[in-house]
Amino acid sequence: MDLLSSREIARDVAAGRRSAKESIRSGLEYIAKLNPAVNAFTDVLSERALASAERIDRRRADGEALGPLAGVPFAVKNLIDVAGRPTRAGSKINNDRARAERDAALVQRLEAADAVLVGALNMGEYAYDFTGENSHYGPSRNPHDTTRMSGGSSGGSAAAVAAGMVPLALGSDTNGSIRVPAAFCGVFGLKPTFGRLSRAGSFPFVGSLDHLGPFARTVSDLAAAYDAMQGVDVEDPAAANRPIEKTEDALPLGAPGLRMALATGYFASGADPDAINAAALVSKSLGITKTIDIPEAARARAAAQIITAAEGGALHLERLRSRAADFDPIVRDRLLAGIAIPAAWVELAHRFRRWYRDQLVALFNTVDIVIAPTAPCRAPKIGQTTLAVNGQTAPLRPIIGRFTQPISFAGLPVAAVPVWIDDGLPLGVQIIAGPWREDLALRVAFHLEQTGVARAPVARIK
Amino acid sequence: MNELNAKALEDLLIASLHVQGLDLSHGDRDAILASLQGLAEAFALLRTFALPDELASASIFGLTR
Repeated sequence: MDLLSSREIARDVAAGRRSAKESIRSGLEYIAKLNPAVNAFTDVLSERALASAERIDRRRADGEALGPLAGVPFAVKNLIDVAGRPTRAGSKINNDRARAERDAALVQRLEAADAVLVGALNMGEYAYDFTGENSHYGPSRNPHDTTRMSGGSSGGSAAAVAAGMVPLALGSDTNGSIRVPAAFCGVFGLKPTFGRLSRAGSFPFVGSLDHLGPFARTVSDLAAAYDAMQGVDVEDPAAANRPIEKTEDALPLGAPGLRMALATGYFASGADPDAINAAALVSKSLGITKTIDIPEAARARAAAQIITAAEGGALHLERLRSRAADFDPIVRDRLLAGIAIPAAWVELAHRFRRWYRDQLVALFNTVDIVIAPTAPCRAPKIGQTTLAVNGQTAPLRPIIGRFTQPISFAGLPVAAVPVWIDDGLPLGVQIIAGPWREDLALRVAFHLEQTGVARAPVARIK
Repeated sequence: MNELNAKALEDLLIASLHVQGLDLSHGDRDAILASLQGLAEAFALLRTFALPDELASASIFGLTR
């Protein structure tokens, strides 16, 4: 199995050096071989994928120009609609809902670029999760050490990419669910600006915080997928009326000339020192000398927790009434707490969000990029429930989102990059840009990749 | 969380669940209360921040424009 990047596959298919069908067939074989160990896929769509690949090959034979992702296999978190399949959203309950009538908007856009959907991916139930554990389908496992968490909630997405099962996957990020698994599994991820990519045809978690975005093992692949998915969509009421602003061609501009700073204060405490050191290492490699304090990050995280619990609880109210026993208990009990809180708490959190967002927009008038850790630790063991930080033991699940929640709460774009500071598991660093400046975050990620500071090697499954 | 507040939170939880057609049997009482306590602590942190009265909520549609 040759583990090519998306761009390499697309170039080969377009040039006729390999057929799309060959690409997809070898990808499906690799998925079948590795999935028992990784548990990244809940649904493999062999028939559909091979049929799509045959159509691409026929079009090439007819002399048609192919799209930029021709013959590239990709998979999606199973909260994203796939026509004719149940949109599980990591749950048992959703298997009883009507099957999706059509593909989600982002699946359609990737397929319009001639990428080929090969399956749906495991995730934490209803996306209320940072671990990748799932009581219904089993945990998605970290390919670099299958006794450890993939991270969540887009755990299957990051694990599938890290294992080389697909070069490209989609996930969602409400409070960190793309960035955390990218960090734990050692792959690149992009959480775009809130409103940038359409969420039409995805099962929601928190409508006012949900984002969709890609995972890949190279920044070029990440940018190519992101570019293919941009565009206005009236079917997502939060989708912004923004023009398509392509990023891939500008990647070689890299980091020079950008105003950059390392986040300090809140973002330099409350974590394993290695996590903070990884951000410092990235900062040093970029020649950054400026530090910056993101104001009121702790309160931003608190407000995000309130809005998440309240909106998530309200979304699932009827299911909690009628099928409480069919939820993952860890998810169910937090949703039940969420529906109990007073409206005034939620309204205060939304008002604070407005203030906080304004502060961060002003901050990004003075810098282009802010560097911060992604997760406060390396991937924990599956089943682990506590984490020791600074000699204090704390519940694991809530603390994982410490560094990601305050950033997504303001809707800012983040490229999540994997960093290896020793022979151990990877750590993650957030490359944060101002609203709508995904291009800058990706340029810096590309620079880090080119200089060897960030990398996403295919895992060797033991 | 002192005993009085813990009791107040449990009363809030029971009443709120009840008016929404639920009760503690729908989940694990201690786990729900622990989660609710975490949210109460989040609110306690938030309420000590002085926001101007004139500041309206964020519209999600205009959040990042």
